[in-house]
Amino acid sequence: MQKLFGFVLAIVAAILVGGIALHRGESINALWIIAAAACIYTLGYRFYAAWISADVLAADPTRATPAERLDNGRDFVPTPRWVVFGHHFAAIAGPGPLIGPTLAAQFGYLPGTLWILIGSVLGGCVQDMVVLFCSTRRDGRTLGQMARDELGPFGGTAAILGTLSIMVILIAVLGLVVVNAMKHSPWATATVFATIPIAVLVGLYMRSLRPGRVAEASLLGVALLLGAVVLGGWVDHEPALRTYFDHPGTTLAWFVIGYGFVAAVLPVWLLLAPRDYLSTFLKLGTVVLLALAIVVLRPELKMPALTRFVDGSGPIFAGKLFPFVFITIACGAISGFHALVSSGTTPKLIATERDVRLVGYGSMVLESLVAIMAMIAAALLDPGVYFAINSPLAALGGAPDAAVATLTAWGFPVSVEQMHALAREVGEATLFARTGGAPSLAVGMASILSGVFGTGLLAVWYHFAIMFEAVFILTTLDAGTRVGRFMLQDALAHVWAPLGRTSWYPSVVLTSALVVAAWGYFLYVGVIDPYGGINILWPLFGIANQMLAGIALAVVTAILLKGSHARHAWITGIPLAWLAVVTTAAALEKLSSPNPKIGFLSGAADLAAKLAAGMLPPERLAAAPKLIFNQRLDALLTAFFLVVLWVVIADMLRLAWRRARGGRLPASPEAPYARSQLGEAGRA
Amino acid sequence: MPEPLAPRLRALAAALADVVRGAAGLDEYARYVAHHRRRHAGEPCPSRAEFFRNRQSARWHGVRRCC
Repeated sequence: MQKLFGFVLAIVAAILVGGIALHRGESINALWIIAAAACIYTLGYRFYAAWISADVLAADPTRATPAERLDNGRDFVPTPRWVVFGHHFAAIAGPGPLIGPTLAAQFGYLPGTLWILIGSVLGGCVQDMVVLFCSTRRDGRTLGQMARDELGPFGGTAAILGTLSIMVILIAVLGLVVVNAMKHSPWATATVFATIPIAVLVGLYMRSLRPGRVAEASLLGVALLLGAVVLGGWVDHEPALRTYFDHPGTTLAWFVIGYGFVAAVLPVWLLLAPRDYLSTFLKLGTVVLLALAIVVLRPELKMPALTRFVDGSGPIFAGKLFPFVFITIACGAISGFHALVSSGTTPKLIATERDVRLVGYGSMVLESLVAIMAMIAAALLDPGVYFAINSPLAALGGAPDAAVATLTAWGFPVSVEQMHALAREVGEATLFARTGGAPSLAVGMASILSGVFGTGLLAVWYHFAIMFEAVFILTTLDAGTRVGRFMLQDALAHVWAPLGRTSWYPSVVLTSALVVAAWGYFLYVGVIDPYGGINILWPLFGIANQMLAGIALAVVTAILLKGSHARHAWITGIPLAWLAVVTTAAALEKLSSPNPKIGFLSGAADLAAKLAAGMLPPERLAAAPKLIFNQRLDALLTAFFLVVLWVVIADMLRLAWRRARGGRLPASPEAPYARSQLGEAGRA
Repeated sequence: MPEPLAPRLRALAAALADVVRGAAGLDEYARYVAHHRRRHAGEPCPSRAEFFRNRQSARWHGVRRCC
């Protein structure tokens, strides 16, 4: 019966994917993609994940998990499976799966969609599940600790350095996305600013007024956030007020930097914790709303399956389909970041090893579905509009007139009037060059949602979507700054012990400032870059994230090799090999491509030559030296990521080689077996 | 023989409620009280406010938010 079901499902999935792939020339309905995704996820979850759990990991329901053995009612708590699922999903889902697919839509909807589906089912979900399982067997040890145990001190250091640097790049690029959404938009700026006092209010409510009443406070907060969207619209219509919220990118960048610093040194309960609650509720609500709206409306995708930009000449970011689609979409297909959450926090809640499949694999399936919805939202825009919103003007010829002419000549007809009308409808002065994905996603979401709720509210939906993404991003921003600070304090403690004390204020201020300065630098340079900065930072982030996934996969492959199921080590070995190929290819191209739009070094050389020859317009002179230095720094970072990845892989291959020659590997340090005392009731 | 629909829907609703609860950590305190009763019966149990304060700083200490 099970097999028959799987067989039928596989055929349906094949027909759907085939239908999508061969459907050329006319537009295709979004429902095809949703249906294909549902089939593929079900196949992956019901069969592949079940097989891995039973036969490769040998999940043992009679074995007591650390939550049971070390139960302290606080961080180690045996928890019902759907509650852990909710907790884990809330922790892994951030703004990443909304941005990557939106940018990758420049290749057409097909490559990104296929990569999201295949990459998640065979790669990302497997990584999350296996890391979660390994950490559960090791009392919730973190990825860094496991890397040290399995691969040696270098692996551990590499994991920590990798995490720190990816955090810096991630925060910078997310900050850039928010800045691009708020640039000269009083409505968006006022709304995003208003989310800060709202979060503080919610924090005070939860802390002092009605302590611990999270649900009440969050509902109040969500209501206030919706009010803030409307309030922003009112501000936008008051000429006296709107000037206070109308700022260029550089001012907003300084604001985000200052905010990041203040948020990182303030106590958690005042700002970070309440906003995290709010973004959790917003995220669950919006994802459900968007999914329902797509199913109800069944919108047609207007983006072609493949665009001409698979040749590498794309205006949003330069680079060919291979390897760049695979690093542009990291979150949603496979994200190394998830390995940090799958080890550490979540394993301490798992009541029985049987739940690892639902929590690890299942949560990533849902995250991947979010990425699919982001892809749909981008692909249902008119391609001309999509490119006009997401491309930096400099890539399209400079001014709006030239930009629409370029786009129309490329076969994506759009007019200045059309863009103005759209901007007016969503309550913005302009939608040109709002690079970074947030505004185009907001236009897409707004048009889906207003299709259900009526078009009169298009502007409100647009700013709701902007607010929703900004809340997400700001949460990641200060949570990430805090994590970076803890890691830095940990490292600096070796230099001078007091610096490691997380409650010593001078150390808190110093280390927070260092972390903020690191990402603030990349953010600022991104803002002054006439090409928008996203085209540089997002690939760097993708490479870093896939490098971290490579480290995580190498660690768990090493663990599998040491266990009794070494012949199945390919389940993580193949995703690792694929990531090694795409990350290396992308990194090498970013380092050595002679095309100044792709290669960091040739980009720097090109700009330096233009500067020396006096070919730059006067307004670009001041920024040019900074941009040149920045591209060289980016090249250095890319080389660093590449070296770290390969050293860790070499460490793992050393083990594989020894094993293949019949040698004995040191046993992997699992916590000893103890029989579970929890009845079925305790596992719920 | 397929299962009747009503209990399955009820189970689905319960699972969804659990997801929301887990995502926001809504019943952490109730679970702690249950744990306390089991393991530390007789000792005074921290109030909701005390427990909340204690947990909140711990909850955002490590990596808790992805990209």
